[in-house]
Amino acid sequence: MTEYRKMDCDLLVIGAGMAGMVAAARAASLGIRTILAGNSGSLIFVSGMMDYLGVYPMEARKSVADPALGLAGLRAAEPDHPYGSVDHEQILQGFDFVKKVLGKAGLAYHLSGGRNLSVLTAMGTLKPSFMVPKTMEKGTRLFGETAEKKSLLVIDIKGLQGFSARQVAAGMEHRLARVIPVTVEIPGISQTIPPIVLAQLFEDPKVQEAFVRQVLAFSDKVDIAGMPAVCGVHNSLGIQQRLENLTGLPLFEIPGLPPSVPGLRLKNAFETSLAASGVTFLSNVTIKDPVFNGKKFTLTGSTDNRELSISAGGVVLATGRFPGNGLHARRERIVETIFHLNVHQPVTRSLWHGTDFLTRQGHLVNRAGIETDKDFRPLNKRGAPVFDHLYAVGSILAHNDWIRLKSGAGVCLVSACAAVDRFHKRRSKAGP
Amino acid sequence: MIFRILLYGVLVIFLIGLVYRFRSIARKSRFFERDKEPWAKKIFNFTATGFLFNTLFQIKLFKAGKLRWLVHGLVISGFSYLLVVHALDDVTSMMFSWYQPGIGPFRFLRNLAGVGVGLGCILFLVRRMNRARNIRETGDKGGLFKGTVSIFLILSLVGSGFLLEALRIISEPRFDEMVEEYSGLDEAGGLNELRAYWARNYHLVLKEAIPFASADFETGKALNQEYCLDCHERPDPAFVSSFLAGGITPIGNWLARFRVDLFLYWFHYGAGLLLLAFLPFSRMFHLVAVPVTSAWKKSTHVNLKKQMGLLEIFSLTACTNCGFCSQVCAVYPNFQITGNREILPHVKIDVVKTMAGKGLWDARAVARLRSGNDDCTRCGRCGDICPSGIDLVRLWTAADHLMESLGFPDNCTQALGTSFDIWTQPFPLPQVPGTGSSPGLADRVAAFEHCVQCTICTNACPVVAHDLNQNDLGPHQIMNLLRLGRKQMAAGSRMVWHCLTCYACQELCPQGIRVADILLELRAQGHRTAEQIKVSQLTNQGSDK
Repeated sequence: MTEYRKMDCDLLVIGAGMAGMVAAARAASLGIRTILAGNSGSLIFVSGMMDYLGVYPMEARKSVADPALGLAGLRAAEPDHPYGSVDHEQILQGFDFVKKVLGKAGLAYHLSGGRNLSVLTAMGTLKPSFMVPKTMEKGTRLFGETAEKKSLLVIDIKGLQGFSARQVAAGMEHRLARVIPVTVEIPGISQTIPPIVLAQLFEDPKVQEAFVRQVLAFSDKVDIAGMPAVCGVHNSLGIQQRLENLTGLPLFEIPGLPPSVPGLRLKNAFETSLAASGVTFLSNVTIKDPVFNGKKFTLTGSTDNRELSISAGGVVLATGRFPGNGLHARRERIVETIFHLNVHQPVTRSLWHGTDFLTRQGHLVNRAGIETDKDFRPLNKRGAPVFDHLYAVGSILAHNDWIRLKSGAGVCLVSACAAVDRFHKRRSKAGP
Repeated sequence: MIFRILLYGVLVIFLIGLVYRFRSIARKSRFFERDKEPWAKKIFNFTATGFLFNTLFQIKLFKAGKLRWLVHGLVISGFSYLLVVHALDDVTSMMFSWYQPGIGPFRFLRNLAGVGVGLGCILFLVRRMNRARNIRETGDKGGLFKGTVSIFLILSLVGSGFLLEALRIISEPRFDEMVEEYSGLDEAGGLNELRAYWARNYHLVLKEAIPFASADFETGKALNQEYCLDCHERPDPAFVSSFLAGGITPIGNWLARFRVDLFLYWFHYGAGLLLLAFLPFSRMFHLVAVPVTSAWKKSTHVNLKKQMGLLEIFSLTACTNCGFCSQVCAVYPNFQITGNREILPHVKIDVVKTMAGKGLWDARAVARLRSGNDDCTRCGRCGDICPSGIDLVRLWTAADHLMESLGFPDNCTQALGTSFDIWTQPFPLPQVPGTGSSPGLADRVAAFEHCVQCTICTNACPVVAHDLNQNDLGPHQIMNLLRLGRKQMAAGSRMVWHCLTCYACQELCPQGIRVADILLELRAQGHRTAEQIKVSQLTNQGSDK
């Protein structure tokens, strides 16, 4: 177990969340020899929806209908925001790239034509998003101009926690002509059931038939039905179509609380894509001790019981923020955990948070992170790139309160694509 | 006369022993079922082919190893020959008038058979010692000579036989006795010539050398032909004995004077009688038990269910402690790692026998058996190879039932059946170095404090998915118990005991917590607690009685 392996690559992507996965996929599409190291488990946290820019400005009490307009305002007001380094076209290309990657891996997504989509959530609210799983597409059409004439069946499943049909119905009653909540019982479940386990059960035709039997009675009473996102882990679209055929109702999935099945599907699809495109995925390998010798980086990858040495021409840091351990909050200041990069942050801890916890502006700590140049290369205190070929992408970037701006996936995928593209360009220029 | 009396005495002991063994064994076979008093019941499915083939041709041994079968066959056939032709010659010579122990072919055959038996027994011993050494190297001290009494008895029987024959060849007093009895020759009649002839051709060792002339030789030859040759041919076909005789020639006179041959005769005879008397009580009993056991039909997966709790003691007596079962044991690596000898089938059989001998109630033996039987996967390889044809898989399941009926279930059953009040009361930790003393992951706050209770582990867990309505806690709840300082409570949960160690939880944990490793560690602690509870209950039961 003490065997010391050596690996070599052109680009090492650290972190296997949304940004890291996209960076690795992008690098593979450009023919770069890539190693991806990290824990993809956190992808199970994501809702599966991919936002561009849902809210701008932050104080606004409603969502942005056209993200391109929001982007223009954002770029003008906050040039340091990661979107400041890219334009609308690049962002659209980024979404399109991810859609194609996932599509090739068997996970179909629906990309908006330009305006934000309205997605019904398990809270009974509407959330703006830009690209959603195909299984959620029909739900986004529901809230068009004829919404007041439509009737909706909201289905929940007995034992599934964190999803209540009545709650969803209560939130939607005033928007639609009629909302009927109904609870479906799956045989064999008498207590609680975790969502992913339920999704696995849904791959069983017997469970599907039990579901259909109980929904069938409402087929004539409603136009469309929404259900929690548990239509199987694999082939979710196929299962949904089967349920639609059997019930005679158009169906759509409603995203719920984490752990989320669409997140798991996303993780599986990304991993399928990595395997197919020849990226070496070092699952659950932690990277530490980077050394730069003037030409190449050498880093140590470690698991519970072994270590390996990785040399790389370039590194993409996609380690995320505090939950992903890309940033670590010490008593007095925030540090970056691998390269000990300069972290943009409030000068003292007392400024991390304001006094109003739910403030619309967010807290200063939410904007802490790594500052980069226009090529997404981290800057040192003097404002110069630390290394020629070190890039930071995703939520670790500074000036990026993605939760409040509803721009998480967009920032991740566009920064990842841009950083990899620029690494590729710079390297092929320098190369023979 | 005295031989007769001894022989009949020993025969009586032998027969009484057989009856005693059969009776005592027959009464011990029991059915054990959970929450029921064990009852005596007999299932006997006779299989003629098994009986015939395994008894006569030792087919199971043949499958176990051709060389082993050959050596075993050598001993059996050699011994049978010696028993029928040599030991029982009084009886058999009545049927075969041409039989004379002293003529060439029989001398040769007797030696050949003796060599076969002796060599085979030595090979038995060598194999036994090798195994004992291997087991002692990895485990604790196992008896080096355990179960080898019969082998040594046979070896001494064969050895003394060869020595006796050699001594008789060279013994002058014996020669004199024979001459007096069968010819009555005196010195005038040519005794000296005969002596000289025998000294030259029959390895006789004389006290005083006799001058030798060719004329005398002819006289000796003639006398020999007249009186001796009918029964005594030259001893050279007895290749071992005459070789031995050559070896002890220098001290032959001295040995002959003290009549060591008489002593050896007694020894040889005594060893034979001892072997007979001990047969019902020693491993030699397998001579009787193997044919009987072979006549049982082996349990199949269909009838194993019906016979699950049947502890059939008789078949255990067919065990010769040969150890083939342990050589093929699927969990032998567990023994190599843990050094727990009770994992090995041949040791387990011994423990069950010990228990049976003590009326099944033996707290120490139960604890030992449990520790080994819990590792058994019931793969059935031991029963497949057993040359004695013992149905070992049924034995292991029966042992489980037996232990449960004695209030000593496996640790999982014990843990999940114990109330939390008892489970969480402090037990003194066993003072075994390297176990329980060093703090593990579950004791280190840093190992689990980052848990955000996201439930990904519980979502990924196949046990949770399979056991939806029975499972008590998900892995994330175990982590929470640890954060609350309830380690012992966590160690008694169903989740911990049913964990498959598939590592899905650990692989997916976004916080990098070693969930599966922690569950495993908790189970290890649970094992210790369960054993402590069981032992304390056993001790209490013992004192009640």
